Amino acid sequence: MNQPSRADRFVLPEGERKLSYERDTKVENAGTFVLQREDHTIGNLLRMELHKNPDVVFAGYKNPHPTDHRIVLKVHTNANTTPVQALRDAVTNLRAEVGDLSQQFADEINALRRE
Amino acid sequence: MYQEPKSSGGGGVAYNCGDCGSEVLLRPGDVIICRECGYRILYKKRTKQVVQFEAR
Amino acid sequence: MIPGEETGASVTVARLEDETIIFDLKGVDVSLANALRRLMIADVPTVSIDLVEVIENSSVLCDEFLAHRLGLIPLDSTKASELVKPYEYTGDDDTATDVHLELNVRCQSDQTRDVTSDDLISHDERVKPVSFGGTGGGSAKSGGILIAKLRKNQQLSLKCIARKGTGKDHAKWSPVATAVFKYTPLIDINHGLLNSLNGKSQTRILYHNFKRHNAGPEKAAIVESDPSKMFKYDADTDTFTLTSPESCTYDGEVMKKVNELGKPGLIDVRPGLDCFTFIVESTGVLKVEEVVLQAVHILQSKLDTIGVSSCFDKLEIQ
Repeated sequence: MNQPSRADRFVLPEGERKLSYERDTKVENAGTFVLQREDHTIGNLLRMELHKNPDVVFAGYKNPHPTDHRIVLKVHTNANTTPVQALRDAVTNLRAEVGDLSQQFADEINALRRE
Repeated sequence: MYQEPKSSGGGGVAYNCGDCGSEVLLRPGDVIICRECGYRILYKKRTKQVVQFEAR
Repeated sequence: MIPGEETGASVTVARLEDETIIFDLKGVDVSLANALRRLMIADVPTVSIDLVEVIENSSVLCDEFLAHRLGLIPLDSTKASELVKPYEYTGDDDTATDVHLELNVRCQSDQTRDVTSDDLISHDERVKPVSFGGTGGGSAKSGGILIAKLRKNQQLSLKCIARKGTGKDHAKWSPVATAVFKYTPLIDINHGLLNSLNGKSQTRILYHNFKRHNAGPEKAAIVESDPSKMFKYDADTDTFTLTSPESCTYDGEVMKKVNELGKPGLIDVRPGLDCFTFIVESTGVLKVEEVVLQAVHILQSKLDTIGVSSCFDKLEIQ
């Protein structure tokens, strides 16, 4: 059978980077990130967070093919920042937001379960 | 390589009659017929090997 | 971050039962709400039967059919954290990834024997079939989940290997039966206009000498017009109330009715764009709050793996 290995869907291949970046050859401050072994869950989340940044001119993502287990994220910024910095900020903001949310969930549920 | 399932007695393969359920031993060239009731549909027995399946 | 835009996320749990949770998530983007929903469905790990060895099967069901049914049986996954997913394990200790279960049933009597999930015997304290305690679906007699039925002298003898996995791999590993969210409705009732309805109907009552219980037929008509039954009207006390905003389906029928009555703006139903109501139901393999908490933790660790500085190292040079 030519079925791909099931593990291939979840495990980052040896020597492969989780996150890689390639600059656009023609446009300043633009480039393409590739996130290995991630899907729409993270792809859409990062894209929408990048949209909140006023220095981001364009941010879009795609999953090239359902059997390609990666996300391609294209980012174009103005001169105030770079795509790499913009993504770094987006991730930092999201980590803070989710961290806060996690604490709130824990508090809410603990309070309800103790009743 | 595929091997014909051998019956315990040797000399032929055991089948079950589709009508009366009795065991029929067949050797190459034999007429496919139940010796008890004359029914012409015989079923191969289930393998004695343990078989494994993915639960998907 | 746009200044002033970020008011901060907030969570309020409206209801928490053993298998159902309803909560409101405010002040976040849809993408975060959707990420959370997707994580609960496809990324929270549970344990399910993954391999079935058939030693004896004289039932009317074929081996692969039984194997598939066994895979779908919910196994208590509260101790899933003690197991490792097979594709993440590099050692050679099988007990780290596998849990063995057995099914040995032979029908001795003339009566049909129901084989249920209660007949599955676990050889491991960590994982057991979810017990439904005599209630719920499956066979009426035992309460377990029906796997097969045996006639006299039919026999099943199977060895199962359960493993940890996620819903991304196969839906049998999904811990939730329902994981949905919708925009929390913002429902405004203009009480001034509502009272004007009241007056109108009362004058009409006096004029035509209507029976008393017909008071406020227009208010009752508004309640009637709503297929999602969000409002209640009590004719005796003449009170019109919003009773179940959670059943809102944004069908627009109430607003249509209000316009028909010549009172546009009496009731306004619209989605709150940064507020979501989640309804999550567990299949029973995990406590429902555990599903939600784990989903948030998985999201955190996913962001952490991307966020660590090593991930961004030398990114520009390439």
